[in-house]
Amino acid sequence: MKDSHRANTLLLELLIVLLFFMLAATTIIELFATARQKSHTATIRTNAIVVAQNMADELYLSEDPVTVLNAYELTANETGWAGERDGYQINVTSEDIAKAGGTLRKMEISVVADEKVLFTLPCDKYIAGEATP
Amino acid sequence: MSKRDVTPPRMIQNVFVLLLLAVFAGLSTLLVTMGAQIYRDTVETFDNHSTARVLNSVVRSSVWTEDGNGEIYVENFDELGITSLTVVNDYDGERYFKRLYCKDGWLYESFISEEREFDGDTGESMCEATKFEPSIDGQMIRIDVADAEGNPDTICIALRTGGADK
Repeated sequence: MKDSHRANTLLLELLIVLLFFMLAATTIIELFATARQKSHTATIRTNAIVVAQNMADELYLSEDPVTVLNAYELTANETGWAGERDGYQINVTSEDIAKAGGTLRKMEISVVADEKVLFTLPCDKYIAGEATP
Repeated sequence: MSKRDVTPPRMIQNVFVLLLLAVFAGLSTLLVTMGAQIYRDTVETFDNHSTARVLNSVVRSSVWTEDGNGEIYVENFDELGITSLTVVNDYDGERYFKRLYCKDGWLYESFISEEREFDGDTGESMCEATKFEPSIDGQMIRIDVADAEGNPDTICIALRTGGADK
């Protein structure tokens, strides 16, 4: 009788330990999943920053931005240009504002991943107009 | 109740306890293995990010700092087997050369005055890089880089104010 009671207590102890272990495991696995997701987002962000900075610099120097955007495999849509890359989307908007001495081309590169804007990079260029006497 | 009647259920109970212990041990091992794997992945990814970011920011900041002086060019040291992106700084009338170059799998930055001869050993290591090949086309600096694993990338930097000499 005493032996049986001891065995039952041990069994109960083990079940409680397992229950706590499962609870801890669930929390830890959730943390692991979050860490993995954050690491994935960081990868996307790093790659996207390099690509966006390169694109901004190329757009800054280029006379014809469409050529640069096509080189980055971006296609025109109703808001500007957009293109899918490895895990993220690049959107580019452009607006030409006429000024007294030329045109201000305001461009903005934005990177979207998981329907969330990771960052936006402005890329403005002033195109001087021809001087009139 | 005789002794013989009690034995079989207790044996089953013992086996069940042992089974529970085995499950506990198995799950613990699985969790630790999984955790170690994820930790290793995260550290590896972090290392790759930091290399990519350091490469990108070191090169960009070096160029942008001295963009106005217009003295940025690509230098070839054939005898050392080094191609460097050289940025010239002027302090109190003395010229200093900042050189970014790749050597022995590392990106180095060297900062020496024009009186000292560049030998490739004066630089400080910045981050692991297996490739650093700069080229200048007009106002555009293009640098083909590769990290420690050999993953290639390109850094494009437009010179905003000054020009660049080849």
